[in-house]
Amino acid sequence: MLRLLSRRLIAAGVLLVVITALTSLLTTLVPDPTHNLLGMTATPEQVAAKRVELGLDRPVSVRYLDWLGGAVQGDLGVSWFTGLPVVETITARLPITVSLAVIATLVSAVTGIAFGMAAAIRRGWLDRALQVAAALGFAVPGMWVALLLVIVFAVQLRWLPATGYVAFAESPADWARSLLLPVVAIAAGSVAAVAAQTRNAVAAVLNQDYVRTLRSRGLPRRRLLLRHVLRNAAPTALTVVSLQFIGLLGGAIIVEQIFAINGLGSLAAAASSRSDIPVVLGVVVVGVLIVLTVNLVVDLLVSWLDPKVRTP
Amino acid sequence: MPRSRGTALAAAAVALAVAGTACSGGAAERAATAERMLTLAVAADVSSWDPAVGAGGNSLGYLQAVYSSLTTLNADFSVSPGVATTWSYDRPKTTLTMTIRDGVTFSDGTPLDAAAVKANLDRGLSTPGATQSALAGIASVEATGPTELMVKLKKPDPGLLYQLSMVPGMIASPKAFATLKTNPVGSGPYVLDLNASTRGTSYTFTRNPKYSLPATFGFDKLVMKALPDTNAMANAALSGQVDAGGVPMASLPQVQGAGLEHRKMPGLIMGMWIVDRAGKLAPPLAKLKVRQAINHGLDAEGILKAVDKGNGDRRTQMFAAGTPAYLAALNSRYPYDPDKAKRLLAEAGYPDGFELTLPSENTYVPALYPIVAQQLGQIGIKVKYKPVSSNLITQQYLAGTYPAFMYTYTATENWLDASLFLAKGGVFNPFHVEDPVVAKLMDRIAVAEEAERGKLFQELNTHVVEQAWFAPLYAATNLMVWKKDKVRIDAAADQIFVFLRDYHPVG
Repeated sequence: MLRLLSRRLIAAGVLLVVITALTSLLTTLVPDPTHNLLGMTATPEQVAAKRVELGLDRPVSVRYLDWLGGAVQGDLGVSWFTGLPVVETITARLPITVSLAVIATLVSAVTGIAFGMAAAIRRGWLDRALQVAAALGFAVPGMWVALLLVIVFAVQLRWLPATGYVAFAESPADWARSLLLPVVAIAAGSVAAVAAQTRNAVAAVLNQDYVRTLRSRGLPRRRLLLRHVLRNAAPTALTVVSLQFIGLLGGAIIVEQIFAINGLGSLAAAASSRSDIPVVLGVVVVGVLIVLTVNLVVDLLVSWLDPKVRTP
Repeated sequence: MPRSRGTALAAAAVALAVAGTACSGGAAERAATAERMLTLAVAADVSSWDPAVGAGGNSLGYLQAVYSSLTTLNADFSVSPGVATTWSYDRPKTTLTMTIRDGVTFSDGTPLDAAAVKANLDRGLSTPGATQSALAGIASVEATGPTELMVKLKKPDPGLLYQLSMVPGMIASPKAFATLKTNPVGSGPYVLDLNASTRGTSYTFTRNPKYSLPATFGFDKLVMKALPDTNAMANAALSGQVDAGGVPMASLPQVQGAGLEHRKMPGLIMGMWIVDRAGKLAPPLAKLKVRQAINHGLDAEGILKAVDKGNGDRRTQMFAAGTPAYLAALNSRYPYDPDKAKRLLAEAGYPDGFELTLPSENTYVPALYPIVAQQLGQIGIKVKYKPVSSNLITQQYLAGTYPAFMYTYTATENWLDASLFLAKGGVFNPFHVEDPVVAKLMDRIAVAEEAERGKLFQELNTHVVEQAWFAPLYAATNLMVWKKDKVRIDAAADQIFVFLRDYHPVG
């Protein structure tokens, strides 16, 4: 387990450097933000001075190494537009996106696994309904679901807020109300994905000889399903859930825009559109770290569930 | 400034924010015991609270709640007193003398005097940013007395008083310079309540007890919500989360159904910018008759219906309606007439037309490109499009990569617009084409008295339209909505910005 962990950590570090270096390289293609910062009436001298101030006159490799030097010490620079430290900007928004993605993942995992297991065990109409729902879930874009939910529950019925996020510390009830529609919008598609994958995995396990043997030996149904079937089907479900979580982070960009939630997604969208490179790089670092952490946790869980994975 | 559709609405929201909350209510109107609160939607978060950084656009409204500016902008882009009560230029128009209002203090108790104004202008001039660019014409600032200020200019700048009504003219407490980025301290009608605000999402303002400028404000509390997504903005307005905001025109039926009040505001001017007027990349464009043929060959009314469902007004001029340069009569100068366009092309020496390479993008107005190609094709101009990334269009357009391009523009103050897209060195004149008539008129405008300036601007506008430097099509319409049981807005029909003073509390 320790060997797996150290291997994964080394790979994660390399991946982080590679991705941020590539992002830095890509930022050379985005429009120069100097005119946006200085206004259209800026003189060429002012533009040149600003470019020097931002470091845009230096080669991208030098800029990257400078940035990396700061980043390893926890300094991700300062936003070119707001002048605020990137770490501070991201820290303020990270809990919002993470709570959105974590709750959406939990909802989709619990609901999806429950539906998937039920469909695999009961088959019949439930199984068919699940397959139709899964197809619909894949086909219907989350953005459309989000807009529909807002129109019905916020604009028409006025049960829930159309926009905004309320911090948990401010009001737990309003926090839940502000997250309900975005979570449903994000989770709708992934519930279907998790359910379909779980259903297939459970169905495959149920057909195994050892399950038949255990059943014939009179093992209680609940114990058979939870201890043997679900545990053996879990690696597939877990992998799907982790992929969904990563996908949900991406989906959060759109959903955060629709619900005007000030998370990492909307920060990434705003920073990209105005070429705020330090913020873009900061968001990339955090995004990569989240993905790597989730993958690592899932790898460890899967290896705990399935000893075969641990053998190199 | 060039804007996308999204930012067109943003412009409306800026207007809102400019208009913000100020209401001419006064003490009598506030007699009711209940706290009067107004929640406004703004299309973007505030970039910086520091006026020296010069964040304009959507930041303007936020800043206007907390800062007072030297001059106050009127609907026609003229200015009236603000922190400065009077001002005058010397004869060569290179020295501006201003009298600073007596007895004004910042919300932290620091007096707002000529020395504080000088400190702000000097700081703006030395801080790289939009304020520095806007004030670039200033050579030096001197406080000649407690309330007397002398501003020396490098050359006459008729746009300076307008700039001083915007962010560059906002005066912050010198004691708070170090912390202005996040904690503004001004002499405006409100103070930012940091404890009740969430950065990036929602800002709460309460009355500034030390506010002493003449304009009165009817709301005790103001909340500004940053809603960058136009659909989010519409949903917030339709669900009653905000009291006023700019929403997409497509939301009009829902707005009417929801019982909200609305007004249509002139927005972005859409059209073709024929920038290669010297014919460097496309020689035919150097000919006046070719440019006029393009104007006659584009069916603006048809394009307006196809692209914007008829929500807009025909324009042939680039200056904003309601400003001194604007002449309504000019809008009938180029009726759609493909036969005449063909004749003009033939007279210019292009009876068989010519090929024109233009950029196209797929974010701002994708529907426009096939229509323009088809209509110009009908008069013999074969348009070839070169796709450009939407992120890069302004950069490429301003670099003189294309002889002409389709563009959207929010026209504001006449001198600023003329400096940007008519002057030889203007940013939006990428081929630096010089026209002796334009140069002469701009020189005269620079030193003209106010009474004469409007006429000269109209002459300039007429000349540019006659020279067909652009082929404007129409000004798109922005939609602003508000709760009629809470707010009343008094503003002229063609007003681009709804000012703070135009808002009045209801009930």
